[in-house]
Amino acid sequence: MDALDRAIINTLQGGFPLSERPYAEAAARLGTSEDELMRRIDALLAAGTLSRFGPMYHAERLGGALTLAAMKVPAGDFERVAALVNAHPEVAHNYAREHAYNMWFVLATETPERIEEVIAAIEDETGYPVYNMPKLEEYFVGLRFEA
Amino acid sequence: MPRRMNAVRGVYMTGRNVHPHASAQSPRPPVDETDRQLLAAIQHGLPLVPRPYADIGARLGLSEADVVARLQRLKDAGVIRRYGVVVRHHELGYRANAMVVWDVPDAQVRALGQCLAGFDFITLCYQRPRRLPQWRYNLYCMIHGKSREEVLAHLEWMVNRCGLQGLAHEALFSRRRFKQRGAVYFDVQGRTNADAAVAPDILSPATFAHPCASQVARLASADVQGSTNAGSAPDARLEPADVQGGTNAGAARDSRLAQAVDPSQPTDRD
Repeated sequence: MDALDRAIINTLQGGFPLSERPYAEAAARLGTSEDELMRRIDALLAAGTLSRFGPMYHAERLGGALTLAAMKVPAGDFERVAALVNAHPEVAHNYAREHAYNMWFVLATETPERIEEVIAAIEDETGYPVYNMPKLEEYFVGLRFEA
Repeated sequence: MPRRMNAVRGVYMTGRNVHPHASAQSPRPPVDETDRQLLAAIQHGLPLVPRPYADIGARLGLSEADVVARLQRLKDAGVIRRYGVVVRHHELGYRANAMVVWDVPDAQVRALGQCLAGFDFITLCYQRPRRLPQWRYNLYCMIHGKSREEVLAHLEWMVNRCGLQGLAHEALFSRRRFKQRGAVYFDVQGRTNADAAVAPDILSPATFAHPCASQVARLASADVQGSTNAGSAPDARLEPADVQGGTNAGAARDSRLAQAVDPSQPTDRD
């Protein structure tokens, strides 16, 4: 990854033009060419440095729902429970964290009601309670990383 | 809609811990069928061609100008919340992340949340419901760093800077991430992989270099006593284990950070 790759990552995390020639416009700001920018983005995607290039949607504003959920799983049972939880297609991410509440996952569903259904299913399958921690207020979702 | 529906369905009565405000706070802007087709068409990425919007339009029977106008409107309405490149932060060397959770008096959550959001190493910051008596924390922030030590240094700096020593908090380091695809028809992956919470007590106003010094000053002068969590009904299904106080005022001021940062733990493989 060279200086141009870093500049592309740092600049385009903040947005991409909505215009007839968006690559040309962004390339001009980055001091490169339209062709080179497209080639670089393609390479960064292929290398896995970028997971995507495009829009990120607001689930709730499209009628969907998101929530963070936590479980307290005994160490010896963790793998079994993780497999059961991860088998649900609504589980977008699942992190093991260092805490008594050691499993934290995000549910993304097409409807708000579906959140409850999935949680109930996970509780039934695993035998452990699921703590639903929906966001009440959002202060920041920058999630930007300097390359 | 969700609020009424939850009430009607008696969510609290069943003990299912769904907060009635969970999705009631984002009014839904009008998104028509063409918008949905457009969003679906680009959900996996923009075409890498000189005129990507013309390319998308050709697929959907829309003009380039219409595609641009619709995307602009959806962006302005917040339906598209980010638009650009999404990095795999692990690939950039950000291998450690901690969800820091804080027990903040309810009246101060907003001010502190906005304050924490001003630190550049905070990548996400949300208020979430307490689940008393088991879970006392109501503000979550995510700190990413290149190492566990860097994340802890960020946290310590923030605590000292904002005078948060008196707020109960814990740092939950990630040990492992299970890769998983969000299966909703609109991918929301990437905006959801972080969260944490905060609990301040005496907040020093001596943090003027920070963008929200005025909020910190307000917090410092605010009453921190007697903040019960009006919003979160205790869930009947929670087992009565590890009850740890649960109120802010006078509850253990122990930062249990130390036990959460055992350096012998494997670092996050993300």
